[in-house]
Amino acid sequence: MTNIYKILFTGPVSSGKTTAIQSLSDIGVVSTEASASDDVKSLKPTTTVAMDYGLMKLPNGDQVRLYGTPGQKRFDFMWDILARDALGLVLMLKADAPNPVDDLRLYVGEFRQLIDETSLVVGITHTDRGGMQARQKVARALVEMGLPPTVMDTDARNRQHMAILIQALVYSINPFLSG
Amino acid sequence: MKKVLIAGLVQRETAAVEILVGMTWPGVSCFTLPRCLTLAVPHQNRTARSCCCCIIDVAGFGMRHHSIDAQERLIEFIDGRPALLVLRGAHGQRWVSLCRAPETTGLSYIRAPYTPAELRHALGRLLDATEPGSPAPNESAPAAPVLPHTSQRLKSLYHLFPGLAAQPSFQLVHHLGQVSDDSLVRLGHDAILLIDLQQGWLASSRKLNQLTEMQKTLQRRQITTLKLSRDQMKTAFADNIKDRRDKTVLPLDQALWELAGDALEHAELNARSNLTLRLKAMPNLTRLAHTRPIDIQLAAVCIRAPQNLKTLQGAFAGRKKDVLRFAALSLASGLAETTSVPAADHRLATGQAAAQPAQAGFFKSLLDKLLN
Repeated sequence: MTNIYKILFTGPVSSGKTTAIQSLSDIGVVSTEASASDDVKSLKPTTTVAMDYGLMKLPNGDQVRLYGTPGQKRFDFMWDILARDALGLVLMLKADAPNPVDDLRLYVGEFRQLIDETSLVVGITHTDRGGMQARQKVARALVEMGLPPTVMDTDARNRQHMAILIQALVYSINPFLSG
Repeated sequence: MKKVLIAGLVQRETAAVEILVGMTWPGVSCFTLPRCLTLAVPHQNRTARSCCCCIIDVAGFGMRHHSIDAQERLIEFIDGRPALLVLRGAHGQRWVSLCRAPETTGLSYIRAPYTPAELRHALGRLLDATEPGSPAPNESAPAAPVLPHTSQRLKSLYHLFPGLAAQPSFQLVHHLGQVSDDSLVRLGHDAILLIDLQQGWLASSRKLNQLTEMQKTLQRRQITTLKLSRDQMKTAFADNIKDRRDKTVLPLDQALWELAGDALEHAELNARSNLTLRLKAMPNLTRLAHTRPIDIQLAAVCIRAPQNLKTLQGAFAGRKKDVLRFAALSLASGLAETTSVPAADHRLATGQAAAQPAQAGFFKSLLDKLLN
């Protein structure tokens, strides 16, 4: 029997959620992109409005559905729906955002229940443009929030990077697995 | 399952304590007696009485000020259990200096406002005090990790692995680990490194793989260090690094991890002693040249709670050398420190209970997929 699991990707607009799912998915990502309006337009021409969907087919027949939330806060009604029964949360943050720690606090606050029940890993993207302090600042803020500082610099286009991030998520859920 | 009684705290603070306890000690649960509107000492039912220790906000009991009467009522409520008293304002100190509890009651104190780390530490000591034969919590015990400074961190590394300090290939890491200010480090005539401790990066006139080759033959006397001001750092970067074709700029912990990893590649690590390792931040595993699944696994375990090295080696019985290597690199890179906080039981140090067997099969399959 095929078991189906879910991993949720979240983060601000243009933090690399859709790209991260593309890097891991075995199928073309189903994306609900729409032309950006308002302030998002300055960041990218289109943005996710409902969700992104990718799929990993595992050797044992199980499947992992990869869901990406819309980045904009006004679509946050989707967040709760997508968070239901997720195995864990991957939070993508932009190093070059005005304040990555503010973004962290927003998303941790919104997904706190899921994080407390499962696990969280944070990937910092755009580090080439945002200096090297974002990872340290985010790690410190996670500790202040009573969370393990599981945060790494990440290139969402790089499958290896995303695989390491997901491995960290898996091991934080079940740390004594033998690979 | 151990139960902690929370009494007299406001609702929000109670929730925060419950979350912290649940995350840090999954085998421990909380039972709450809400703060009474009248600030009276609440009545304890059977569940409250069965709790092994208490966290009490004395202000929530109407006892912001110490008095003999208040003390007696509080001690009666605690009933010989270890208790952590939350104190507020200037009057709180009088509880510390005047409260006389029976020796069998282990009283400890925490002053509001407190940080999650301080609370976690105080709770850890409180729970320890519930163990048979444990000494009562001691207010004067250090709350901070024992070895916070760079040189002490190296000391701790060398205490664990005494042979490392003399190892020729480790001289560069040894030297960089001792830098305590923003500095320019010259490696003979071959390379210049800039270390920005404030912002946490290392810049080099050479590529990292060139540095790892150089450190194999580098003599200690060839390494010289010059302290720099902030302005001098900018000038030194412009003069020595900026336009170099082979320049490298990396987070400092990542650079030290890579250099130490290469230096220890063929080293036989034998731990002389045991220690409790506290990982302060995750290694930047995505950016390292060679990240092995065991490093991800050990990082995921150690990032959640301090871990005793011997316990860790027991948990990863077939990977004892990998555990030692991870400990050495974590300490050398500044990501870890040794701590006086007791290590968590490794079975309890994770965010969740062990997965169900069906889920374990799934996780293994997912790892297979990610590794290929």
